[in-house]
Amino acid sequence: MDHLKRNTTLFGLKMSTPILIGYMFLGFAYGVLLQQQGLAFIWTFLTSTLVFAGALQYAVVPMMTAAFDPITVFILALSINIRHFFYGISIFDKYKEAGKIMPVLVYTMADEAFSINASTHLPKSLDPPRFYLTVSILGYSYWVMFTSLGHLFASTVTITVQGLDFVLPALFFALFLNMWKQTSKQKTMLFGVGATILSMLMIRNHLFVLASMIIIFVGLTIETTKEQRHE
Amino acid sequence: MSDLQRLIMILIMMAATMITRFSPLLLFKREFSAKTKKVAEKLPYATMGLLVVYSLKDTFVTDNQYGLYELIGLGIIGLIYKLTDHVLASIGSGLFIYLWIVNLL
Repeated sequence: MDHLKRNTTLFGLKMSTPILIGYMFLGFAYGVLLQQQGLAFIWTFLTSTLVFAGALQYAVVPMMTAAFDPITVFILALSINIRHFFYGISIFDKYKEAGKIMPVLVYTMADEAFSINASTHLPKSLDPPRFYLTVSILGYSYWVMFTSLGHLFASTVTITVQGLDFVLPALFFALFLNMWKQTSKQKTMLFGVGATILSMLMIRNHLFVLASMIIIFVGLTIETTKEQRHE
Repeated sequence: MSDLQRLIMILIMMAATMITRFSPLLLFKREFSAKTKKVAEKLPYATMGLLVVYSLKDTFVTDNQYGLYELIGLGIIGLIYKLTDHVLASIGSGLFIYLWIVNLL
């Protein structure tokens, strides 16, 4: 019993190493950025613990020292994070096994935790909810920890290695390949890639994610309707 | 902006983000048609494709090499994954080669 718990936690710890590396770099840089804006430590800590959404946190940095504009902030936050909505629908079946801890998994759902939890094929000997929780809580802790450290040590530490943030696209791509191997839905995966590239070329701001979600949803609905007609 | 306003701003961001994360749960409270269920079953696969492109979005806009280095990095990941079937090993090798190109070439 304890053996199962321990092995699951260790596997979660191992699978989250790319998150550790990615957040070490991106989180630290975020803390430095806020410190350089002249903001007190508490603001770095509060945005990371309460909001916990990297892309959004970066996007609103200039607004944190500008005039108060709650409506713009609200719309920006919704439109940047709307992809979470797709993550939620996609991973619901897995997370509902987790029962009482599900709200924790949902609250701490970021791109990274979602991609690992959605695509990792767990060995039978491990406990899935415990794995999801390990990955999610570690991701959250890494982010809070490194953004805080970035703020506190902004003036004493400099990162000289360029391009460490590539670890996150690398993670997503490797998980994409892993999913590719385990499924027969390769066409659907390519459709997701194509729809997002198309939206990105058409819409040159963050709203392209929303556009690609609409294309994906409409495309999959049309395909499913056709399949059902054939049945 | 005052500290109170800044705090409100953060709480607004938190609320909006929680809406995007928790709304699927409310959606799943009701029963769906067979068709909607089938669409939902396909969604994770398309979403994974979306995420890969999304994570590279800044590369094509700001990078001087038009994403060539990233393409090499991803190519290495694909190759190592094909050879070893190992997610972390392929990420590690891809990242290593990418860092090497970006920092030392």
